[in-house]
Amino acid sequence: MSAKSGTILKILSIFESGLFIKIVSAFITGLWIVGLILANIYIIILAIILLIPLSTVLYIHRDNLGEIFQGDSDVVVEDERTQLINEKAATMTLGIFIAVIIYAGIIIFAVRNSYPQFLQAGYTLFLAALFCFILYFTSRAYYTRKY
Amino acid sequence: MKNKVKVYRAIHDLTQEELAKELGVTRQTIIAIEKEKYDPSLILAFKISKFFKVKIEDIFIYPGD
Repeated sequence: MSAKSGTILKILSIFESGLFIKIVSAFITGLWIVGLILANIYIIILAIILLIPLSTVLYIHRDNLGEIFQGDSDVVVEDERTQLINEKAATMTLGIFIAVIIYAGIIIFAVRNSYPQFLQAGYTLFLAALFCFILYFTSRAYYTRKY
Repeated sequence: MKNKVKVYRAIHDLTQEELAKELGVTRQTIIAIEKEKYDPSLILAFKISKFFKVKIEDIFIYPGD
């Protein structure tokens, strides 16, 4: 086997092992952090641009993400019970979060005559709640179709 | 749901850690099943019964029975 084909095989094995995904994920995370620290929008935009192809790759490898990021050691860190716990915790968190931001939005909206400077924040909270609802029902529709 | 996982584990002289490793779950899941705080999925119930080489209804008792 020539040195060139050996190098190509090495590169291919990096892609297959998920190391490439890990490196790109770490690089993008680094870009976010650097962008935030330096307050540089161009670095953030670069991170977003890189995130699009990475999201596609992650979606393709969605069944192996646990193996890629946690490794294939003998120690079981996640099983059906932890998944159930995560599901219940996520549903409760979402419910509480939506309730809190809606109530906060209502309170801010109710005192708009005394504190008009907070009205924008009230609208933002309502929009955030609406976005959460849309996201929740979209994912519900997706999983209803799936199962 | 009532179960006899603890009994069968004792018969086979296994620790919770060993059984968990064999079934590919965490030790906490075995603890929760033995304490009857968590009902395993159908797949895990079949895995447990297959591992102990008994019928699924010998280990897991439906509340109505």
